[in-house]
Amino acid sequence: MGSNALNTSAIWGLKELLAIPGGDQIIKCIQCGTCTGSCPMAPVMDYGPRRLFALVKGGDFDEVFSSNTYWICASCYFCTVRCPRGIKITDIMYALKRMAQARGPQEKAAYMYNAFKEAVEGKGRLSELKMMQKYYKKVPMDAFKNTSLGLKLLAKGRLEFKVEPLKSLEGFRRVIEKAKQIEGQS
Amino acid sequence: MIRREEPRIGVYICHCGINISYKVDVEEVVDFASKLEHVVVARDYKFMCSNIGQELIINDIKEYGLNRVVVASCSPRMHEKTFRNACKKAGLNPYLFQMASIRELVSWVTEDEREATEKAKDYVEAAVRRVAKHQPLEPRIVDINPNVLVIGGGIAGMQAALEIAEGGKTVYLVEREPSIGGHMAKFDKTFPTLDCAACILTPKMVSVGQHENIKLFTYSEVEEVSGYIGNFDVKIKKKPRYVLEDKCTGCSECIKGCPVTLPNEFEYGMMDRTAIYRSFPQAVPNVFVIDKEGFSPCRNACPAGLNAHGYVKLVSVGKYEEAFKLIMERVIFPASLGRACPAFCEEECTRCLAGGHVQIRALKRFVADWYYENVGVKLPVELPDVQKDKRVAVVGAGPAGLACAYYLAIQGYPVTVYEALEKPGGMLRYAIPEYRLPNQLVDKEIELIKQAGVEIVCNTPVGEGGKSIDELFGEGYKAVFLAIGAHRDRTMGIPGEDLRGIYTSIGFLRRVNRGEKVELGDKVFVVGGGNSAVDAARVALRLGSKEVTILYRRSRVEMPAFPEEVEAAEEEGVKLQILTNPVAFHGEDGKLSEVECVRMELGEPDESGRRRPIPIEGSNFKVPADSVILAIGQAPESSVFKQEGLEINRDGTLWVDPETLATNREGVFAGGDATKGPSTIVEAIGLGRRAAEYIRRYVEGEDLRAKPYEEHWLETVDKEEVLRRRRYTVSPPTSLVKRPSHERIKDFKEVEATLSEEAALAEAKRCLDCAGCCECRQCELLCEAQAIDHHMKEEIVEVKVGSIIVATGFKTFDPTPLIQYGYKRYPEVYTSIEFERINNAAGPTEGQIRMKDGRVPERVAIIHCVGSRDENTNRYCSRVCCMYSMKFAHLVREKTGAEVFEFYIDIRAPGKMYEEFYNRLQEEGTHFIRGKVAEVTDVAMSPEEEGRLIVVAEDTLAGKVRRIPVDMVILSVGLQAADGAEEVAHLVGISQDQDGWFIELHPKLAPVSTASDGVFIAGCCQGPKDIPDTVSQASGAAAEALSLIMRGQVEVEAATSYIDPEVCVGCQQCKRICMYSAIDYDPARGVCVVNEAICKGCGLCAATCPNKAVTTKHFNNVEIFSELEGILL
Amino acid sequence: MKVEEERMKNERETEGVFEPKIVGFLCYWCSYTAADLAGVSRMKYPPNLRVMRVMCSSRVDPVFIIKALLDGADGVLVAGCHPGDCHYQKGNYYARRKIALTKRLLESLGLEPERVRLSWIAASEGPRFAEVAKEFTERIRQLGPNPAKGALFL
Repeated sequence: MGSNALNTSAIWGLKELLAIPGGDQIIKCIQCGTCTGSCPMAPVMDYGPRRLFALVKGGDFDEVFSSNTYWICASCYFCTVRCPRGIKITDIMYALKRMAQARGPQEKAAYMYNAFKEAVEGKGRLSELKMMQKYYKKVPMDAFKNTSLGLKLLAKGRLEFKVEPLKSLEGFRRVIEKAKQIEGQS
Repeated sequence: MIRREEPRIGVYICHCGINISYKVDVEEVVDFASKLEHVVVARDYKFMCSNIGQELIINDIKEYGLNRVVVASCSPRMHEKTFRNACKKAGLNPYLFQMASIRELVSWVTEDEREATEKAKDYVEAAVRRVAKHQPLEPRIVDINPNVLVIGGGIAGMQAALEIAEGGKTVYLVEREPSIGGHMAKFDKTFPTLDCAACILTPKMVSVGQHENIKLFTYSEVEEVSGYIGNFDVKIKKKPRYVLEDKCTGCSECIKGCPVTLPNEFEYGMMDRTAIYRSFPQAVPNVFVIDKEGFSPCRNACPAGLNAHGYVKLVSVGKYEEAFKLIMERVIFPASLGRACPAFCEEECTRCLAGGHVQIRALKRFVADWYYENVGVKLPVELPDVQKDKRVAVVGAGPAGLACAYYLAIQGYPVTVYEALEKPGGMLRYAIPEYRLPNQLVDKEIELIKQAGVEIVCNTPVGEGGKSIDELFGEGYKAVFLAIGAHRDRTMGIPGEDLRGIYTSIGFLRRVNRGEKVELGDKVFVVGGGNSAVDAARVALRLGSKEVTILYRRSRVEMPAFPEEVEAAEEEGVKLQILTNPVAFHGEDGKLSEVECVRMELGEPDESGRRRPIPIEGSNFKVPADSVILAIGQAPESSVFKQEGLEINRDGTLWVDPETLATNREGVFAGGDATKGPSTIVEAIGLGRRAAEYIRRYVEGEDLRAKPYEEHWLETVDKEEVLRRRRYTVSPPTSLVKRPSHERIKDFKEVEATLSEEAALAEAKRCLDCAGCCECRQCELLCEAQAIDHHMKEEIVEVKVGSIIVATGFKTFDPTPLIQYGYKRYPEVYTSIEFERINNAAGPTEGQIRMKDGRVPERVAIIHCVGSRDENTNRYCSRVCCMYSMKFAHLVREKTGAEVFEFYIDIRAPGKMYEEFYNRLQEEGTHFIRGKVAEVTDVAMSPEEEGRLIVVAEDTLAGKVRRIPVDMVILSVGLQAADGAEEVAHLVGISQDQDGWFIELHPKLAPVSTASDGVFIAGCCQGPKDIPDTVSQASGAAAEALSLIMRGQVEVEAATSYIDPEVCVGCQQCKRICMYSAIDYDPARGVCVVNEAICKGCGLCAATCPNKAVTTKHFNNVEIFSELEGILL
Repeated sequence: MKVEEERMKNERETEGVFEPKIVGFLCYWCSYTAADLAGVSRMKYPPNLRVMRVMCSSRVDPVFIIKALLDGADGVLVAGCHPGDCHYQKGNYYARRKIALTKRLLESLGLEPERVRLSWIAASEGPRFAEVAKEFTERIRQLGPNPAKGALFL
């Protein structure tokens, strides 16, 4: 799983990360573990925030961008508030998320995020069916796993087939365009 | 005399190894310098500060006849002294030297070499131009006073003091706590040797206490420091201990008598202490101290100055007789006051902000009733054996008169009281109704007065119609006190006032109290809103009248009667008609039949501040009435003294001097309602007692105003502060038992009952001890050495020293804001310093490690880096926490066998035997988990977590988030600058860095000196450190101080200011602004003169003088201009 | 030497970048120590600031500032201890008042009052000193050359 060599200068190539205000503070991390200890999602992450940052600083980008850490981050900010070095951990998680997205999703959670995005873009409201459809296309195994759940929901009438579009869909689309512009994407 | 000789300048450019030469083209600068005006020789060298470098200068001076030298090298803070000395060695005045900094200010801070070189050239030219204008100066030599001041009595201060004292010099050691010892006295064991802290500390403490060269000032603070190195004038404020240091033997009997309970700061609130206390048993000096922060609000609210706090506390510990005695020191008639006093004290009681005031009045009633019941009507003091021969006459046997009589009598003065009515007691007997104050009780209380030797003669008025004051003096009295009260009822002056059935309140109440029968009929109206109106109304009810109505011309809130009285009256069925006033009384055959009233409305406020009542035109109405009682105010019958030459005020009261209570007639004093107008019993008694003192001074021929009346008085403490520092639960006052209203109007028996003993004890315990010591003086009674002096005052001692060592130590970080650790939320989370006390044999658990419910913990967590190494709190590492945490691990294991979990980020064990200590702890089975704790919680997620505290942290080495259930959590908090460090820094003229630690002269090479000559620092005040380093620094600072003393003299900066008398016009602007008062005005010559001994050379006077008569030597305008030109041109 | 300097100055100016010349009066106890600390910490700042040492910021006579400006300085910085921390008790308060008045005086002379700045810099604030040096240099650069250069020689 990746090489053992330490590529310490690689971090300076992570321009998106360093561009965040305070993003370069990641080099001050003393690996104390407060973030992982505080993180409510840590039990289900591949790597807790601390270990992830150690991998980032060591240049192990294969592991970093195939992990699910930043996808599962709940943005609760516990880590950021308690970090003794004042590192903006949550903000860095967002940057890593964007960088992972740019590299193409490799992680299940990433597919879920993309499925959500595409499902919402259409009508401005979330069509759950559409979202799950898109998701299962990428992760077919989960389709089988969730069949019984889907049937139960169907029986209770909790699955919507039709979704009303937003009244001001135009405005919504403009917001998305602007956001993409700001994030430097096309 | 200034010799204008041709400057011959030598310029030396240093390479400073490569520190300068790597950026600055040194050769170019040399070349540049050599072409400057007056420069005779210009050189460069690798290390100008070295011997060779200095030799260069010395040789050149001799060879080339240089009379000015410039060195361009590092900062003058580094080597100005070095080069000045070199010049001196060569015979050149050291002030004919100038340094240009081209390292700190040029080579180290400039990127581009070209720019660096240009900058260096500018500085060199500036220095060359300037030095040409320098004049030789003679440095001032000052003597060094061999005494040393040490501020702080912890291990650092004590060590420094001992070193210097052993060297034979005098040390003034000032410590603000009652004992020396500092934080080390709080510990149980020290790391890594596990020495008992007390065992190694107490011998030092005793040495300090006994050393003949150490003058110990404990419970003292440095108030002011002025002067300069070698000659500091220091003012030390000795806070009053209220215990005499040279008499107290430390026997601790006094504690047994003290009723006050306060949180113990030494134990960090984990234990309580009494107001008189000793920090710890081995305190040095081994003398107690009384925590007295002022007077409690209740005490200062009482018009008679009664120590309410004192007697309430005595009741709380069951000392009722002592309480009675304490009360009688300031007031008489305690049982009466306990029933009828408006209790100004209760309004000010701090408890009002915490559930409701303490029932101070009811407690007084309890004490008095108990005393009369259990001790009897017995004088609480002993009379003097010999009576004095100076007799005093008192006119009026009311509270004021009898108070004056009593307080004179117990000092041995024979007093005779003349009373116009047939019995003594004044308003107490004749006005206040039985159901509020039974006359039987009044008799008892007056009996007590008689036991003091007071003679009361009734049926004997004084004034017109009776004895005159002249007659009294004729009979041999040396002084007379007039206390005739205010018994004359006012009248309305409206038609029909003389009809039968119209009474005045005082007259009416007097007749009832005498037992006379008064037929009121059923429809009774009482006019007025004061206490006598309410009294009259409630009496009327009890006499059988069916409809009693109070008519008052203003509204309810303006009624002067006590609200409780009005409430009680209404409960009993008295009706209240506000905004109504009678305008006429109508009758038949001379007897009242109707009252004509008018409605009122409220207009603008009048002189009393209350809104003026204005009659509403045309609103007149008539009501049938059987009787009317007018209770519209009273005044003294001062007309009886018209012939006596006394000044009488417009409202009928007698004029007296407000302080001495003397009237305008020699030897005649007055007080009570007679001088104040109708007021309260307690005010009357207060004035009576005051008059007794001034009368005593008068008859003994003393100057009345030589001393104030109160020789011992302190400010009221701040209530918010009290609530912040005391532990209490909000609780309501004990309710006072009152008879039901329908029952009580049937007779004149007392309405309110006395508190039961149980209720009294519980109520008295609600007192918050606002001022700390309540001055009940039980400690004084128990002290056989007679070492207690409650009247001690603060003392200022002035000393002269030559040097100062600051050793003010640290305080621990308060982790309350870090809510994730649960401090102050969970009972079993402790800070390290609290845990030290738990381990200490003199602490709250006597050295046993126990949880608050007494159980022995089985699992203990110790959390490192609380508040340290953290951007959010303190960035720095506090150095000692890893080591003391491991010490705790050892102690816990040893004392309880519990499992210990240490949560750390890094283990810092840099000292001698420290790493070995860490090994030992590992071998003892301590679990070391690398991970900063995220939180401590009591939310259990599994059965083994139930009822325990769970520590959540990532075990970073194993890569797992751990949840560890424990019984006890210890937070290893970091160190911070001590409270008050900022004030100390300002006092002695040193600075603090961004974390609050004092700044040393150089972090590497001069850690115990400061930028202020003669002031040294030692110990944790300079930065967190362990005991060995602290002691080392203390010895170091002592060495520096001793070195200074051995030199005997020191050179002080010669750059002082000078005023040219030819130019000075004597405007004295400079004198006004000099912050050291170093400038005096010489009126003979009309000019100002600088006192060179005091001048510090700041230059403000030079910049201020409008005529430029003031020059600051070595920084005068010519020199500065030259330097500017060098830079700019 | 003066000719050479003139030549270098012209060279710089012909390059198009105006390099201001700034004089700084630093009080020995606080701000000068901070400058030393900045040096020790190797913090880099533009070389335009020329430091002059005075014992206390209160020594700075408004005449110095005028002289500096008329001698060709484009900006003058006066730095002292933080209020309350003056080594000579209150010197920095007097300095503050004097500088305030001086700035008003400059206005009436037709010079921008921003050319004179008063900063409080404590002894431990090395980085702050470098910051102030940088900021002030840039500010003066924006303001442009001192219009009073050479107008009067004191």
